[in-house]
Amino acid sequence: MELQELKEMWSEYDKKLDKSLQLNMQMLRKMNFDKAGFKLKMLFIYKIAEMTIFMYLISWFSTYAFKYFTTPRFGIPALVIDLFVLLGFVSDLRQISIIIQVQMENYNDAIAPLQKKLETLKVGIVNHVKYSYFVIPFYPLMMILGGKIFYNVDFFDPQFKNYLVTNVIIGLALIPVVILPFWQLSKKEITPGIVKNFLQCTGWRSINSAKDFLSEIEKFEQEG
Amino acid sequence: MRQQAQKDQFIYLIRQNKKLIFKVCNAYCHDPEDRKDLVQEVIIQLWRSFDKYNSKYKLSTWMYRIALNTAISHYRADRKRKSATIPIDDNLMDFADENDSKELDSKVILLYNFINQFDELNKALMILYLDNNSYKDIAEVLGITETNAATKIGRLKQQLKQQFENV
Repeated sequence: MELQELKEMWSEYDKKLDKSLQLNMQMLRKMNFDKAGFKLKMLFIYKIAEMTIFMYLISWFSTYAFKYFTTPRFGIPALVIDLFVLLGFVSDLRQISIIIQVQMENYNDAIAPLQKKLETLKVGIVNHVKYSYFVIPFYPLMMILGGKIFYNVDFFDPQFKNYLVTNVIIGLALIPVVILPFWQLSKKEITPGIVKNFLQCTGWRSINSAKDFLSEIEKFEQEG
Repeated sequence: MRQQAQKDQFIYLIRQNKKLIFKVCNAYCHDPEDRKDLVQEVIIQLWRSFDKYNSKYKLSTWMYRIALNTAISHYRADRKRKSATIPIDDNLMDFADENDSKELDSKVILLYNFINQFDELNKALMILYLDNNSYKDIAEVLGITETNAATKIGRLKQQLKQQFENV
């Protein structure tokens, strides 16, 4: 078979479709176009809500860090937590910007750039979850602040020394626990199977597929 | 009143270009049930973009962009998307005669088998090429340069030629 034959077959197919393909007009008229929602709407609303909370937390922790500027044992934990929230906010901002671009284009954009935006968004969402694991080992900082804010307890007080040291040790021990899924999530193939099953729900598969498609698009866009 | 006129105009447009929608959906969706959803989704996305149609592009370019973007996203999306579509019991597009559909089947299966061996983007390129679009139009739909489109088509032709020799 020659390529020309394929083209002829396609044009024959086109002609037949012309004759035989019919549109269910009644159904088309019945379709409620106005109710068709934007697919990323829920994600957009969720991100806006998350950003609002993050903004409140940033201003709150910044004020708190500034207030305890001269008391570093409270100022520094507030600043570190503030930094984590700020990173989350920036990540949300990037995702929101892509959602808005896609929403404005509404599939009207050329294939390669639009698909690239959608896949970048997928990667961003999974990375957002992935990086949030990093907060876990820092939980003693939240404990220090929580104790001070809610119970007016100073965990640096000598009577809490053992308690604080134990929690810092637990926090440090959690670092490999956090690094393991982070490291596994960056891999193409996860072993052992138990870890793989555990990580399925974190979007590992979708990030890999998104990354593969992104490199496919980039290859496709390359000249020659 | 104005919206009704706009809707009528849109329905006319869909009617005129139903083949384009059908061919794209058929290339990206093999499951007939899933295809019904995809056809519906493409029409909805076309309606949503109807206001934004930029007359500097050809109408077919605009339609290909939306149909192909929707089909590729649908193809790549997870199963969650099923819940996002409105359930339909009927086919939006169908054949007038059952025999027409059967007659089409044997040749079309062969045709689509060739197209299906390509990845999502090259499949789009192939559909656009078979539909006799110019390199300029193909480049506009895909968002690549005209030279790149021509090079890629040349390469696909070579690839297909080799495969045809084995048929």
